[in-house]
Amino acid sequence: MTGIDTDWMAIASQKIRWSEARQVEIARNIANADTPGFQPRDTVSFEDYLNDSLGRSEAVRTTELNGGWGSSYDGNGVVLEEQTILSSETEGQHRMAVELYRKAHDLLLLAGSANK
Amino acid sequence: MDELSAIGKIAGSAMRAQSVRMRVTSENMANVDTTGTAPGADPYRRKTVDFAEAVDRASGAPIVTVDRIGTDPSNFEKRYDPSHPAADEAGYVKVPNVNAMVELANMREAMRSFEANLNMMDSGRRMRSQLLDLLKR
Repeated sequence: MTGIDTDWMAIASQKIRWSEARQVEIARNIANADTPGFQPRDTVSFEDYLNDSLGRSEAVRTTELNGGWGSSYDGNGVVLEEQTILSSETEGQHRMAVELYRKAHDLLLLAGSANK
Repeated sequence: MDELSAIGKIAGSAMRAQSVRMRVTSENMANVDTTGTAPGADPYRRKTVDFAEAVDRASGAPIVTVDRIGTDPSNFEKRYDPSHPAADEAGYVKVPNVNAMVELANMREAMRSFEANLNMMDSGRRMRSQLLDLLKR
């Protein structure tokens, strides 16, 4: 395709999918903040997810959360503060991806309406 | 089932579990002075709540449930009060193994976790509305 590169939209939608999956994982961590022995998990980085899926829509892999802030006496590794930061970060990235998608769409509309 | 409604399910189940914890904590607080009635009888025994991870059958979402409501096996303290109906031959009454400070701390922690889950639910809701806004034009 000439002119507008629609890869941009594909990447934005993958970023939306990835950030949703990450937010679910964070919701799960927060929900289990008081479950004995629970270890928090996180999704793989967006870069790894892109390499994994290579354009196909695949489930987002998860790993143990690294760089954890410590654990409590019952073996629970969830720290609410850490998860809250991750969650707002993820929400911001989701918002950015949605805006990016909208911009791409606006550009397409603009291009389509120019030769009327 | 999409990801964003899974957030609601997960956070909702956790809030439910936390409110059970709140209920049990207030039960302990309410019974902080409940002794036995017969001489030498055991007083109220403190209750505890255990959480566990489970899978929601309908959606497959990883939710949280109350695993069991157990009892605290620690020993009762004794208080000297010979005129009490539950006093034993030596004049001692067993009092519940409830520590008001521990229960208060427990309650605060339950509230904190509840709020964290509420925020998570709100965040999922905002993300969904951003997506829906894309459909506006």
